[in-house]
Amino acid sequence: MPLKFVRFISLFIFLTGCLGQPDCLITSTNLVKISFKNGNSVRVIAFDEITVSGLDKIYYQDVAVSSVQLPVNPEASEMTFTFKFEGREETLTIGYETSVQIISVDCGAFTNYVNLSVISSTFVDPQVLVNQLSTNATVNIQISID
Amino acid sequence: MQLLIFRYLLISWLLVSLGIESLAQDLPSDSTRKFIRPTGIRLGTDVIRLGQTIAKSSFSGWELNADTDLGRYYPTFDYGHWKRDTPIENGTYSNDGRYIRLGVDYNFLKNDPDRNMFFIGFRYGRSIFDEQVIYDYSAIDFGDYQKDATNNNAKAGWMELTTGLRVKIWKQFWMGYTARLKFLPSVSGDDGFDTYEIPGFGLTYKNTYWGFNYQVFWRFPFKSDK
Repeated sequence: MPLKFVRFISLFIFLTGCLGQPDCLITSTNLVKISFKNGNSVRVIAFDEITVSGLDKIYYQDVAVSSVQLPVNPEASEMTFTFKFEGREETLTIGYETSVQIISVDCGAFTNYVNLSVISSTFVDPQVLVNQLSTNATVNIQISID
Repeated sequence: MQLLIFRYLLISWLLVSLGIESLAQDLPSDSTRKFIRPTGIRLGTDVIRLGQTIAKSSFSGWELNADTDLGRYYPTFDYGHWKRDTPIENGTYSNDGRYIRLGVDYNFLKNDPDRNMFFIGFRYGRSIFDEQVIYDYSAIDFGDYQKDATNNNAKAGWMELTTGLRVKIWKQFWMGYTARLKFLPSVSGDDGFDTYEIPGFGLTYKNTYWGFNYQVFWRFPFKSDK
């Protein structure tokens, strides 16, 4: 009788011991994805330029798009983006936190950007859809523009 | 997934316990059931852990094990120290901590005058530790950085199912092994640091984890054995 239980436990331990191998899938990114909508429709905007606080670089200059990807500073906790388009100038300030994740010895350590929030904006009611920056995230923030 | 594993383990353990109870009822002449007070205490250590400390420059640790007999039940207590410094792909990771395990083993060997053991048991483990990672990374348009992140005074808990042997070798000298299935790790610490390895448990991404100890013991009887 004890042998049956020993066999059962041994088989169980053997099978469960195979679970949980790590995947070296790196989804960490410092790009926040922002999309623009008008009601339920995609809103294509012809940007004059977009600037990011702390960087001299100009993004999306004279480009018409319905979504943008903008970088955040890993050593800051908030960023301000300035959008110039259609004779308007709008700003969006976001907040975020960073966390460290070690995936495995072979994959190494990465910085994740989490708890994304909108601190202030001149846009009307921007929505955070996904609060973690990831290469898998379709949209992090959605902004409605007439 | 963890919940499913936990339920499965719980059901498994209940089945084993019921089996043990039914076994006990089938054995009216089990002489070891007469013991209700402990007859001695065994103190030991894990020689594999000591071997790793000598052989690996990246790891140092030791573990003390103790158990005592209450009939066929053996309450156990383990205390250990674990320190690791290991290179990772883009930096180095280190941890340093202490851990304990509390639990009970059930001896399947009946009427053995030497109290040799083939056992199955469970443990609850707790660990308190510090960990640190220094790593290089790139952020788009912001350049390359080196980050030094720490997670001090982190605490963790986990469960274990155990099985193994204890064999009396000579007088009060014992040897044996313990195989462990560790599961349900939980960590509380710095929210900005996902714990990589828990001293006493192992890598956190493995929700179930194997452990193996080869142990030597010295038994201290409360009364001199006949």
